[in-house]
Amino acid sequence: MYLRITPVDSWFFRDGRPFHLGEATSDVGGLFPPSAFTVVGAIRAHLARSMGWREGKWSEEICRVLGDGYDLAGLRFRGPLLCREGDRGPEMLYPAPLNLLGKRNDSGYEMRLLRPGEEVECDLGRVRLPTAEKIDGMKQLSGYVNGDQLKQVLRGEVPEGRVIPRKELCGTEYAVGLERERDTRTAKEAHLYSINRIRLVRGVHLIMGIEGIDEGLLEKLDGAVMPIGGEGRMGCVEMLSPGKGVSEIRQEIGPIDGRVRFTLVHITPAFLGRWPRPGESIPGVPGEVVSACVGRALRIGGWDSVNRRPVELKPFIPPGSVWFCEAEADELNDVMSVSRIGEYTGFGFGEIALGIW
Amino acid sequence: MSAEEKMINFTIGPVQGFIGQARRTRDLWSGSFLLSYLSGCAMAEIRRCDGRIKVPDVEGDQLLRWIESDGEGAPPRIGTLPNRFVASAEDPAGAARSAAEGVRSRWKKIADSVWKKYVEGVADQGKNTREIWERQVNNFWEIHWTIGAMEGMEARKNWRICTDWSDGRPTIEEGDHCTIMSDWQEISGYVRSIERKKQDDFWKKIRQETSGMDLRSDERLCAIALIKRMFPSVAEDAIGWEVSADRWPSTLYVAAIPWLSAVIESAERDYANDYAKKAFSYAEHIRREGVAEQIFGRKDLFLEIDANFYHTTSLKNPKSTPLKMTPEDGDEPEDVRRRREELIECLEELYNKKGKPSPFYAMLRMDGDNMGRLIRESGEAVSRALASFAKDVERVVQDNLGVLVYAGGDDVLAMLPVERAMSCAYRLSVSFAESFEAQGMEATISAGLVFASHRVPLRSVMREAHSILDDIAKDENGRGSMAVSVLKGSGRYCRWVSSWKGAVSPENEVVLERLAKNLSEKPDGIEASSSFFYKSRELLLMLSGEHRWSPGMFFDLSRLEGLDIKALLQAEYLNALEHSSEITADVRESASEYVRGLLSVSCRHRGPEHEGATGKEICADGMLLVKFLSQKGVQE
Amino acid sequence: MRGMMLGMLAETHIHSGAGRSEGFVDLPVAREAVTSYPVIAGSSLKGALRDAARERGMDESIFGDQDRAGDVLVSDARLLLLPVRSLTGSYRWVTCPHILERLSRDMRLCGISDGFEGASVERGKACCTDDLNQIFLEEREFQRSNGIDGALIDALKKMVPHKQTASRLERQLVIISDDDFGWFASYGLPVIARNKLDDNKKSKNLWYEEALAPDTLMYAMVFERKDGALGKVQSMFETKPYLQLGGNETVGMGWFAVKIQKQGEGR
Repeated sequence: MYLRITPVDSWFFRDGRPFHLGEATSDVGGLFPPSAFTVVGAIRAHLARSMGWREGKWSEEICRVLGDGYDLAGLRFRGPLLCREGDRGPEMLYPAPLNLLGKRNDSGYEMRLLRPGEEVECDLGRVRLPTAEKIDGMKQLSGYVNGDQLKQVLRGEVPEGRVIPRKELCGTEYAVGLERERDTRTAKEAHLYSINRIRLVRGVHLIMGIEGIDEGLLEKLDGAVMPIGGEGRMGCVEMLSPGKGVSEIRQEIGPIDGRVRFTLVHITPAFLGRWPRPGESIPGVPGEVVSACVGRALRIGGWDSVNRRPVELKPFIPPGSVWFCEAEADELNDVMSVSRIGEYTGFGFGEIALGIW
Repeated sequence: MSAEEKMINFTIGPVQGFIGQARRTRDLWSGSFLLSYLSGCAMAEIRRCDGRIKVPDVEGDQLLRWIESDGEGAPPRIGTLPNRFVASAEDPAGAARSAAEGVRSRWKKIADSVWKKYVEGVADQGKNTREIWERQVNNFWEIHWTIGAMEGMEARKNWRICTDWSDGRPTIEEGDHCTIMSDWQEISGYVRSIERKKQDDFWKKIRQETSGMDLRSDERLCAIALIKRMFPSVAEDAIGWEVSADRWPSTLYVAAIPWLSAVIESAERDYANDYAKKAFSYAEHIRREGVAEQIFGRKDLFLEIDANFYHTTSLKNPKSTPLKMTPEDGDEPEDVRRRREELIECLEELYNKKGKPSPFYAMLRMDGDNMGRLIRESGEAVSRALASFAKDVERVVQDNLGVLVYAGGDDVLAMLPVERAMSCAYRLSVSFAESFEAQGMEATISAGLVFASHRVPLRSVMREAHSILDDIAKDENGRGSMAVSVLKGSGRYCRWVSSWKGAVSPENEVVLERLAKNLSEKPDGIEASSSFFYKSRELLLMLSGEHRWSPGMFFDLSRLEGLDIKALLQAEYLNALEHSSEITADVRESASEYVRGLLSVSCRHRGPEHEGATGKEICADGMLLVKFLSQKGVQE
Repeated sequence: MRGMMLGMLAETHIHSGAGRSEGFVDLPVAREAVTSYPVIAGSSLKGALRDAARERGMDESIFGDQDRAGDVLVSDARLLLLPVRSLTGSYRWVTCPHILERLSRDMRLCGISDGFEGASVERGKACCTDDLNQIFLEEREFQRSNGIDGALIDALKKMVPHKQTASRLERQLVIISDDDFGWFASYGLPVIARNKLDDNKKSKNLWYEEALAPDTLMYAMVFERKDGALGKVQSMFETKPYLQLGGNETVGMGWFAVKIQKQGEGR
């Protein structure tokens, strides 16, 4: 079952940086799309409220149904993913794969796909680093692609059309907050802080998959207004009709010369205990890593409101990252069954799409 | 150089993560110096393995000399070696490995010196302070190298994985985070929301160790930021020579430079020096001798005071400008308050005579266009060109009363007073092009120039400089461009971009600066111009059919055939003037001249690769920048 | 969660600043990213409600503090009707289909039945109840399109605090396309030039400040996290249906008249 979450107005998602009232802090950044921890947290809190919780720790009964902290009891989530209402109905959006490079020209963008090149001796050993011809002056395209474009990349083709820049999906509202002295109504010294809120373009929303939930409880989510993220900002939740939502995207893979060559493209951030090096394998995935386009770690933390302390900041592999792998032909079925990797997959982390190279 | 030759391509990162995350100009300098120093350590190691540094040309480089214990004269004060270089060696992989090891061990030595001097004695009051420290020190740097053609290094950048990671991935950072480098835990290990007292006690102790002046009371740092901050005071021990941190002017000081030189060269000099004497007797730790010497090369007490004492707005605030006996919390005692008032009165008297210092300064970032390709194609000739450019940089910056923070390879980072910053950038671009011409090559450099209020956090200024250079100048406008943005305390005021060619008059004058100068010289024109600028933007909006203006926006007027935009703007301007002056033939003539100038800075001038595509694009930001540079009617 | 609506009619100029300025207007009002409609952020509105509770000697804890989330969630105050000068009549209350669509959704979120049809109008045209062929808004001319759904007018009337004001609604309401409206929302706000003179009466500092004009109609939603919290908010406005918001109260700015829309059951 899928939920559509639309902002009531703007949203504010903390990114785990220091933020203390009473100190001049600036540039409290926003993380968007929000992490699965944030969205799952909002949904679980709403469900807990509907089961009678108001403040403090959850009752045993609630924990049995909703779990607590990293324990999800029977719940399973997928996403969050961005979706946009287009002329042809809802369109799922995915972070542009990092092996897609582009350069602005007078008619838009010229694009190339990287794939493992010749072996190069480097600090990682002798490695096939990702490369391509004629990529002078090109850089990774930050933004989003739709399902069709993602499929083309998974087939090893340069996608048609253009990458959708983030600014077509949301805008940032910069705001200065200040606490006023009660008597003088002037800003208290050093009590100024600035934050960046996110406002989605009309027709853009989040999609979150949810499973393992009791039908009756699920109904409590439909049409709900719930707080999500920081500052008491809200989202309204609607249930999509059964069968609607996100379809799996995977490219058929066939063996070549007794080997299976495939790519894993991260759709949501992934936490791996160890980031594989050349020749190593990804946990749960057959074969070994030949090459990769992996972005700078996305550090996801948060705030534990029950214990009133920050949640540790963990390094996640950013969505859009691509692993180029190789396995034996007889491992093909195992390869095809991979859809999540790493930890916290029950929250929606670690989702990947499969392709070829 | 041919691809056959086994070249070592070496880089140390993260550059932005290390340099840009700064709170004070001193962090900025110290970050770029350290990075440059470590890169020099890698070079020295490769030379020790009988290798040669191909790009950049390091023959005359004093920093490398000093690293190799071969330095002469005054020790190097700023970083001159880039964080990436090309070298050759008999056993390239072996040399690269030793170079990486060299970087690690020198970094470790610096970290250890800071630890011993400032942290060790306090560490047992923290929670896992030693563990946090080691984790951060050991996992910070991203040292990458490839052997063979340059393309290999480009490809290596796509895979952000480090052999140095102790856990095979970036670290997990618990607890509270550093107030400067927010990805890292602060080293007390306590959580403020529940262990505030312990955290405060820990940092109070560290502050005592650092004699109070180096850390602010709300700064809680990670190992990396603390090393950056304290490095100058352990330099002799850690790198073998002294570097003085007290030469680094604050942004507020840089902003005040033109005013300071006007005051000190006027009849008010004695008055100003008397004010300084008073300030020195009323407050402690406010002497900035090194700063004055570095910038002005002369001795005048007035030039040596902390910049807070040049601005009444800061002086009025006891928190930011404490005097002797100012309590940490609460109201100042009567006699302290009287002294503060006395200082303010003195300063205001000076303002009456010599005007006020500007609260804005300029941060200039430049780097060469398409350098990767040039180095691949022309190798050592590029090194020679860059070496010749490097010789010019410091002089040009000093001529414009600026402070060079870093200059290595094709990169420049400098702070400048507002007045001449654009000219300075233009002079540097000319010097760059000429250095390459002398080697028979054509090359351009681009610039990101941010005019910022001293109230804007340095980190935001650096981020803006970085993004306008890469995205607005190079990517959008084309190579050989300068992007300028004005950041006020309340946000971005305007953003402007042009090719170098489009920015200067046939006489090689920066047109915008000349227009601003004209405007500031006739105060009566200000009001008329303000309302004229305002109306012009509305007019452009209406003509273009756009709904909303945002800084840096270009209006496309190509659909409006037969539109004489100059005549239209001129009519608007005369209309605005009517309120204050009679429209004579002379006024009409000078209005025409003025509008022509404004129009030339408002039209789109793109880089050489886009010259064919010039449409009728026009922006309103040129006028805003003129208004800003004239320093009239723009609030902090 | 149960919700209710606050209709907010500006009685004076309102300057709810963004704390950020871009370009000519030194002190612009806060605006939504994406649409550029003027907006009052939920956090500012919540602060104003807290001030109002304190001033009335009522329980301000329902609005929370830095340690507690509070018992209510407060949305942004959104623009509903923008007063725009017109050659044909004194001024018009202008809105657009996008804003009405949002209103309809928000009413449903608060459990209030909307009951009106969504409007649609082409660029360059205007829906109104007059029988004029053209209507002028500022210096722009619009061709008359359809009339306006009576149910919509009724729904809007319920948001207006004063009966007399509400009665003018039918005559003065104009609906134009989203694009056309965007222009007025961006540029149709009064910009007040303020000048600080030095001793010689020369301009020392000239700045432009933007404000929402009197008679601007906005609305906000309040949801309760704890039963009974909505009632407390409602009772705040029973004796004194006013709210002060934004800066410049010293020059008599920032007053809204408030009308609470009867709360229904949240869905």
